[in-house]
Amino acid sequence: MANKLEVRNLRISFRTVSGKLQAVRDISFDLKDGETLAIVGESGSGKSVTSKAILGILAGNSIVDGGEIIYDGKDLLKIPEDEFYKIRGDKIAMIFQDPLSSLNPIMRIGKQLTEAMILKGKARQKACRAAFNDYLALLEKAMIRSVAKGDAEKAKILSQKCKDFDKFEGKHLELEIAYNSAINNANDAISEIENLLFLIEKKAVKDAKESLSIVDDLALGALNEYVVNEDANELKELVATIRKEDSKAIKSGEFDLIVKTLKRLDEILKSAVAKEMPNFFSMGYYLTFANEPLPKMPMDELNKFLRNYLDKNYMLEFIENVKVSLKDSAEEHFAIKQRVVGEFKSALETLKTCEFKQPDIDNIVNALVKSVKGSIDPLEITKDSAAHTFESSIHSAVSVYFNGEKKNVVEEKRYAKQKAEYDRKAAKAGGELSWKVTPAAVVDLDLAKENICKIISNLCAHYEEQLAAKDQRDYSEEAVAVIDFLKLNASGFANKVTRRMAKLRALKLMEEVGIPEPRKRYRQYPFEFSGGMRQRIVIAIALAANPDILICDEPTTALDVTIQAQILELINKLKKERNLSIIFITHDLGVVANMADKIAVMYAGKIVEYGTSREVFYSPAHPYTWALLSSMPDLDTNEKLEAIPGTPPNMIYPPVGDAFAERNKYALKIDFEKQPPMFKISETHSAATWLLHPDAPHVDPPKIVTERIARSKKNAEGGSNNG
Amino acid sequence: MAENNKQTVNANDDNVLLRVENLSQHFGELKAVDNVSFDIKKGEVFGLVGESGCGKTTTGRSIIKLYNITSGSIYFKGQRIGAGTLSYKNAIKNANENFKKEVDELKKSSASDKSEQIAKKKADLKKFVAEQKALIASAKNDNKNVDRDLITRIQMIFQDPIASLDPRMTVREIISEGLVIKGMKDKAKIDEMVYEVLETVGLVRDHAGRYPHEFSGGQRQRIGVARAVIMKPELIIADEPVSALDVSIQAQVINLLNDLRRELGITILFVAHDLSVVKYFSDRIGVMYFGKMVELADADELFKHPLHPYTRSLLSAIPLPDPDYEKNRQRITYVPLRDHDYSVEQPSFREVSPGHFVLCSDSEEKKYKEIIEG
Repeated sequence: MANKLEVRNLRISFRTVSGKLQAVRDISFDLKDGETLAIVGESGSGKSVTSKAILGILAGNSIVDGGEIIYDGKDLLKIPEDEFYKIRGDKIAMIFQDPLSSLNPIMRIGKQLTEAMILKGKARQKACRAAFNDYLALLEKAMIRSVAKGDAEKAKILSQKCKDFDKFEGKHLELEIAYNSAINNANDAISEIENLLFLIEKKAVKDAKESLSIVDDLALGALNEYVVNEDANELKELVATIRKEDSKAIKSGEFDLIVKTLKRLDEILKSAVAKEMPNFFSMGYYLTFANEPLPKMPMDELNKFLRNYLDKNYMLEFIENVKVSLKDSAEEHFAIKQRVVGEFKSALETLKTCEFKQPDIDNIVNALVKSVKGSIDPLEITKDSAAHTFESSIHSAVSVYFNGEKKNVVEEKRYAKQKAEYDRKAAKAGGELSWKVTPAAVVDLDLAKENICKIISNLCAHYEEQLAAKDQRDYSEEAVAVIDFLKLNASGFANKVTRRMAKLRALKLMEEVGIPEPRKRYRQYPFEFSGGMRQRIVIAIALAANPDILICDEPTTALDVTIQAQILELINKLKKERNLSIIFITHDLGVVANMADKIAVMYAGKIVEYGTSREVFYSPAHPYTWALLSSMPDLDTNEKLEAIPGTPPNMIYPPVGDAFAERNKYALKIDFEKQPPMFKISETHSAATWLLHPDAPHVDPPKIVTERIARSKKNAEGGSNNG
Repeated sequence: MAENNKQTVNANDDNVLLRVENLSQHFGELKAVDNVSFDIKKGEVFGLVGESGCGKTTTGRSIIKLYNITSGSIYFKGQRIGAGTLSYKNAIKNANENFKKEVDELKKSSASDKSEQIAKKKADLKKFVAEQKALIASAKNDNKNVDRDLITRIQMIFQDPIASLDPRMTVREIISEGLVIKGMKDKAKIDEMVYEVLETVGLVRDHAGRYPHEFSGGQRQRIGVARAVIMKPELIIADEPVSALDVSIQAQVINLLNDLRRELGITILFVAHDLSVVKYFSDRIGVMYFGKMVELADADELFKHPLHPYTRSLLSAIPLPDPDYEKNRQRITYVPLRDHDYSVEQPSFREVSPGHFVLCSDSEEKKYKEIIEG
């Protein structure tokens, strides 16, 4: 699985009246595709700050002290605000804790749902169109260069081919979008009919009336050449019957005719849904260029025919051409990379020996950045994040060094002055004074220098790796991926968002997140919703843009158990359906158990334990995790709860040693003196506590925790017997 | 209906501290609490659970007379402290309608002693209405002339420790406000009591001069507890006292409430939606759904034999810190239309096994009894 998001050495602090508050202190984690990462910790542990940094909505008094957040080849901490518009909400969405304060009280729900859709829809359309056109143009150029090789006649044919692709892709989308909406309507109609029959059987007339008015709309929506075709007339008749008879039936309570009609409607729709889906991609080509109507044959044969037609006339050759140009371009850039590696090595040598002077270093760095930019293959689809972030990270590392140099001088001067004053006064008073001189906050220049070298050598190693693996690249597979990429962007362009469509999509989303009677609810205000329903609306808004990453900041803390379970199930379901990556922030470990693949336990701005869900729950290693587990009762707890004494430390003056030491009854002496590093327990599991050091005394977790783990193990074994 | 719903706890009446009888609280059309009855015994913790909007908080607030109840009675230490009149008014209305109907029928019939019968019925009606009117008068009287001293023996802890403390009052003022209102004037004595109660809840004397914003969430909730405890209450209504707190702080507050109950013998009505906490803390639990009490039993019994489908769905929704269990957890959903067939017989609150009450119909009662025995 690829990494969707990488957070490296993130450090964030806040300027406050009483000093600089260190909210996040050097945390790193990865988020893989389709994975849920839970960040658990008390309030003030920095978990929300982390999520806000990812979304670029940190408060005005925040300072990012260092680190990087890499998404899609970009460092989110360094990109400008107008570029962030494309990511925030669109690619990374957030569900906030309090649904009441994250909805606008004076706007109807419908407007709030569709507002972003319409705004973003236009922007996305533009972006997709641009991506499609740019890439096709790049491809055209590359093809002309590597396939035509100067032959003007051939070049003209290739350009024409690219234009054709654009043309029939448009037709393909038109067909497919119509088909999709019809099939969705058919599916909805089927479930609605089922519901309706149930209601009629139970004699819930009032609900049935509402349901009836939805069914006929949905059923008519299923009319499409490839969904309900032969039975179209019958379907229309059936709907007309329902419309005529429904008020009569509701008045009299005689539903026999309606039930019969509905059952027949159900049959038609079910057979329509079961039909095979046509291959619209090839059909689009056929309809655009064949100048003949579709041949009449069963769907599977038709699909084969269309596929062959497309391959024979167009696609095989096109893919072959793409493959050749991809290979050419890649090899050309491999050569450049080879050269860049050489440049890296010589630059590293000079950096090691030369004196650090700003103009020299800037020259070296700028030259490197330029050649790295030249070495990026424009035809690659998945961006090489290491190469793309090189510029921003090296510039920031260089500025840390030179700014540090300047600051150090000032800081040392201040310290010398204050120290002299202190010494004078102390000598006068004879003994120590009640105040102390703050030691000089000096930037470690050697470390900064090392960082610059490390960034270069990292990319160097990365390039060498790529060069070593260059024979293993499968260009035909990549060529197919290119076609898919173009298809995807074209579909993004074709999905135009009008007000009416936005409304339909909003209604669908509302249904997807489990809001009954969406049509009625659409026109209501937030205060007319209960807590759980409000949170569903917030989730629907977050999903409206179809994001890659969903950040849930305590989404269920304000809700009660049943609603909480529903919302969690909903998030899990959506995650599976849309292959979302989720960052789930909570203070409740119980909630996390069925959600998370990985868990990061945070305390005082640091990750103290990181591992898979099973590892953290069944073999917790950090005393803070133990404390969290033992302070919550479960259904079998009878003994006194082990509350964590005291409160979290003040992060304006973070403790020297382990931040948790003061509240920790297992704390060792070293915990107060030195910060523990992350000790690795297994490949995926690590914890920052001195207890894991080989010389540390052996300590068992509290009884309440070990007993619970034993109990759940026993349950797991006996689970099959007890059901 | 009324007879069916009368819940009789087979216990010595002295033992019952609070009795709620057919409590209804309507806000216009909305029936926030509808015909709820339960007893709370001396020294026990009675847990009230249900989803938000089911009326559990309203029940607590009605008991402490933050609302004027619509119907039913509340007895505290044997005295009626709250009473509603709607049921009596409805009874009069029904009697009037019945009377009219019967008279109409009689007029149409050809009985010889028509007029005598009508006269007799009229007299009966008059007597009945007079009785009901007397009841209404007595309810109003009870509502009005409540023993103030007695009422202060019930105290409340609120959900949100930030919103429930006045930011412009010192902790001393907040805690002693009740005493001052009650008429205590001796400053030295008030201070003495404040210090004492601060120590009881795990704070120190120095805290008395500070303002609420200087405290952490857990400490603020302790101040809320201190404010309740200083009135020497016999019953504390704790309305979701821990749900606004961090997990680690929750344990501190639960432990504190547990200590208070053991040391001071305070009875607690514990309103919450976190079932793990309620189970840990309560002796008996009542489950509410849409203003109705659907099940009431000992904590262990309720978790061992959940009978009402809503209780089951509630129990199946509890998240536990156990990934393997969570992966296989099957949540049960509760759909009233599917789970009950009340078209023929109306449900009522019945004792299915000793101390275990469920809202059910005849056929369901039979089924539940089999479940318990089997």
